[in-house]
Amino acid sequence: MDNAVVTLDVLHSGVIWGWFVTMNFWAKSIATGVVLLAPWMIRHPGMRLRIAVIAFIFLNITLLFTVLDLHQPLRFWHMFVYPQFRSVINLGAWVLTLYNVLLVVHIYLAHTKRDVEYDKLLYVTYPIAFLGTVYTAGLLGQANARETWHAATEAPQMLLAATLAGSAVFLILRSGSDEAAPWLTKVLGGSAAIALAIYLFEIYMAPQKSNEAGHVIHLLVDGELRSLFVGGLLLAFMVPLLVTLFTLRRPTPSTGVIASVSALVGLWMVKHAWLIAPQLVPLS
Amino acid sequence: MRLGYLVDLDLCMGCKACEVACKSENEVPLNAWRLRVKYVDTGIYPEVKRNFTPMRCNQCESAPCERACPVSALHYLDNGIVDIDADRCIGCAACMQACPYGAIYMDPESNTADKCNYCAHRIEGGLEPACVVACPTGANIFGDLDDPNSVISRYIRENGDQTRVRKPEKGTKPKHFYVAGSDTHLDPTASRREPGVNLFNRIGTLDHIGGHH
Repeated sequence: MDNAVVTLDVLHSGVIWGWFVTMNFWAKSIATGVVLLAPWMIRHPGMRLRIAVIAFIFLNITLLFTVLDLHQPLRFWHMFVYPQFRSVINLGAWVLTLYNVLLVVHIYLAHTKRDVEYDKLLYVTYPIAFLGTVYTAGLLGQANARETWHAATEAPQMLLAATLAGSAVFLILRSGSDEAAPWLTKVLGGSAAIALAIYLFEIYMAPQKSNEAGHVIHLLVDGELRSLFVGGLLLAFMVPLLVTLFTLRRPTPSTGVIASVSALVGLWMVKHAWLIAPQLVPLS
Repeated sequence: MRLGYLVDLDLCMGCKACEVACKSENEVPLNAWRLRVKYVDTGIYPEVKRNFTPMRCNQCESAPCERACPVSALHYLDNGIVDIDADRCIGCAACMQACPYGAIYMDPESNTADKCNYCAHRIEGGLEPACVVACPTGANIFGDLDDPNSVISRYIRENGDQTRVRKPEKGTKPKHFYVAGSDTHLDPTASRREPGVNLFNRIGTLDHIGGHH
């Protein structure tokens, strides 16, 4: 840098997508994660209704924060009457709306004990839950201004966040009796291990194309977001990973709950730091 | 017709007449801008220099804001201008995240996204954009890039390698050019933004975006 200092300029717009959007990401991880684990969890008694209700509640938390984040929330319906299908946000709105409808049907089928129909419908709901998870990576990919969101690993990270959050919620609610706990703990620990490895790769090994991206990584690792991001990595991934490793043979309900709460809190912190860091770097 | 813009930075003297004219013409609210002139001081005393860079929407040929808008509020006009329909905008700010030039703002009064549209209403009436008219040195040059005889086309031809755009690596094909622009002029990471009261004003961050607190 040629000792250049900005001496007159307008105020930087700062964080445009803040914690409402983080809530969207976080709640959606749970809403889709429980369904992504459903093929294994429905083997346990009483799980069908529980899966659909958890997914429905967290999906609507997602949608609530999505609408609240709009500067014109009462115009949300424009998404459906003026659709622009090259916009991933618009595609996501349709996917999540369809997902919501399917979950209502699942709740009805589970409530009326129509397990066969419930399981058949899962063939439709499962790919929709998958799309609902990964479309956010496409949404971030369309943010041309924010290079760190364009990582090829963003979609796998969304899926891992979903399996991490889904297994964590099941463990906290002690779902599927003690039988499911070992498997859920392995899903939690495995998701945490892979997600952590990908984040470390992105930070230390992935080539950063621009100076802006370098600034963002600096903010996350050494700068003002260090506590939020590194603390989030420890809580979201390291704690569940260590708990899984130390209790692999004999997971106890209490350690599962501790690891799961840690994972959910840490996931929010990591997602929030990852979301706001690029927005702190001026674009012009 | 492809309307484009060019700023000859050798002619710009940082008077901000363009900025004021834009604010007035388009009734741009406080804490928002369609066009701004940024000052960057370089060097060490006594070898110092001040750069002035007018910045506005690049009216990209491959506009990421237009693709990201979920309701087609951002759209192309026949003359290549990327315009915005405020009545359709839902204020999701996807366009603000998509624009690599930070050229879109959330209007704090209407709570919808807004940006420079090269004074599309004036062009429709056969007038030049307000900033072009206000520039006392003729540094702002506006015209049809498809017309080889337009002033802007000739300027680009004559200046060859001296003509640059901001962030060409983003693949947006900007239709806003600069002549005599250095990295310090065009690359935001080539200068420091030191928060606090600086030589002329406060360098800082907005308290809120649009009407959101």
